[in-house]
Amino acid sequence: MVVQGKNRQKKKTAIIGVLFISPLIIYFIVFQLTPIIMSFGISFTEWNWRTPPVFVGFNNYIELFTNRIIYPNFWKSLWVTIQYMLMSVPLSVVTTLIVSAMLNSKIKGEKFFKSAFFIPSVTAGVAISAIWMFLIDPTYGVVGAINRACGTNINLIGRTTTALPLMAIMAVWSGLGYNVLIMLSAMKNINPSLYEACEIDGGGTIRKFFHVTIPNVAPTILFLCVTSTIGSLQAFDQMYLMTGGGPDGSTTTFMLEIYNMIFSYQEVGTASAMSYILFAVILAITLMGQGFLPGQKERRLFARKVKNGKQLKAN
Amino acid sequence: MENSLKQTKSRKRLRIKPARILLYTVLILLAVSFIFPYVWLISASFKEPSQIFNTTFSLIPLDGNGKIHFVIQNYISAIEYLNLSKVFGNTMIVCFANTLLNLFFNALAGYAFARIQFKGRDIIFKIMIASMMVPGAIMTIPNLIISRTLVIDDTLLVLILPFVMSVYNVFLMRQQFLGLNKEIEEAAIMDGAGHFRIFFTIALPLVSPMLVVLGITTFMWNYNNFMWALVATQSPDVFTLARSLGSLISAGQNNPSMYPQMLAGSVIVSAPLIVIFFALQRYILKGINIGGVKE
Repeated sequence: MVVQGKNRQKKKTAIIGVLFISPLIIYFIVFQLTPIIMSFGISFTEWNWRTPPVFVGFNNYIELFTNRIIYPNFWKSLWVTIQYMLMSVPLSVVTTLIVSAMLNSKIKGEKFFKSAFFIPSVTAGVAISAIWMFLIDPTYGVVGAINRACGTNINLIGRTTTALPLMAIMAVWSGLGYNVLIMLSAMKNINPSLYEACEIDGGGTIRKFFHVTIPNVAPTILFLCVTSTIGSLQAFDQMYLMTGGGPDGSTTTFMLEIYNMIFSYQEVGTASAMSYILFAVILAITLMGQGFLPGQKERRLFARKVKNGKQLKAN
Repeated sequence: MENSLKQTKSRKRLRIKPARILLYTVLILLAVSFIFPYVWLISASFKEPSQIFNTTFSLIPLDGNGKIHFVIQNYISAIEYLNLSKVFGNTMIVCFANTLLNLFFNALAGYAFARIQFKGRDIIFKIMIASMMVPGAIMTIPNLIISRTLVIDDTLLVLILPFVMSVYNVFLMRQQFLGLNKEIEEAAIMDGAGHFRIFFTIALPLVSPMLVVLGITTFMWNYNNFMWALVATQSPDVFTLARSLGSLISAGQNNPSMYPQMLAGSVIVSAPLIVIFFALQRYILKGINIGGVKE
């Protein structure tokens, strides 16, 4: 009798549980799972939106990788994206570390600086593109004023050599505030006794930064590396808005090329194949990143060390 | 003894000073590089178009004779180009609908994943977490097809339904519910309360700080969402602010004569979020700590 009641109770709970997650499950199936599977299927077809798709096997992937006449932009856009990543990620992480360490050195006006750096993070990306377009305009903007004053002819956005670095700097600028907040909260969690120990050993500011700060925020550094890498591999908005991929394809990122593939060339199958190639790259980088994370064992060891240090001090 | 300690302390402070000056100089210069573009944007947006293109550099809007002269002409033409009254309404509908629906459904699911035992729960959760690694590019084409199938393409619904929930937010909500003290809930169960009542009267109020944070971030994300709006909406009647400003900017890409409207439009589109940020700064900054990594 009691057991039966318990079972009924369990059943009732399960029904409620399923009820609670059912909106999420419907959403997940319709707008996440189905698209992931569909895209995979489409990547094996030739399709131009209008006529029915034709199954072509691995042809899209093979053609993308090997046929430079039909897809001259595939390798180029991949290379542009990797260059963009190699410029923006290290610059972003190093700047974040330095600025966070500066803000963490008991300065006055920490809140002011944090807010100032955070403004671009709450500005619509579209508006940031507009601001920068005007800022660096060789005739009218600030760069234009410099050009007139010094008689130079700086045109950052119109040259193949400077357009992409400019995009990377813009990305670092607009993401800095957010990254600094994450990094700063990690730095504030560092046990102060570690700094004291380093000081007793005669360590100065620089040594404290490299021997205490960096090892202790390593997981956060890794987190920022992975997230900004994933973000940079999917860069689209600013290139689409500011350069349209030019000059001469020097800012045509992989995402922009996918967009062109869908809407300009109407090669939906090839575009899907490209999106899966991007997925593979992101997956590889994420897994590599996880490999660098300190394992459970090391972390426990570290925690014990800190604990022992505390006890020693107490004694 | 005490004296010498004080002395070394004060000496130390003195020695550090030049480094401190350098520190503040760098930080202030950096802060200027963040604030200056905005100041300059606002000033330029109030200039007469001929003055924007004028060669003399000035932060204060001036007329031809060097007198202070604010014009709102750029704003009028930007409001017209952006179709502001319609587009602002659209943006608010999309942002509020998505924020409220997100909060409700994500909290509901997060609670179930944290607190209600049933078969298959953990495997479902794991599948969803794994799906977070899939880049948005993969969803673009199928979501366009699905929107057409559901006959919501080129309507406001196409900007709402695909973002009505978020696996990442469900994950964060679950973490919050897991962190709640179980005793209160157990006591409520003893009193005969069901999960519905516990969720609405006990659990949900306890995680309200997280709800505020997720509400703000969801709102901002939808406000800024550009790429999907670009591919999924074509009629200006269903544009959002970001989408509408985007088309103004790509029109001005090779046409500097559009700059005055572009600048005014950028101020119009950025101002609401920046104002919200400064008003709700406390919650937003806290939210980023929650969303960031925890060791």
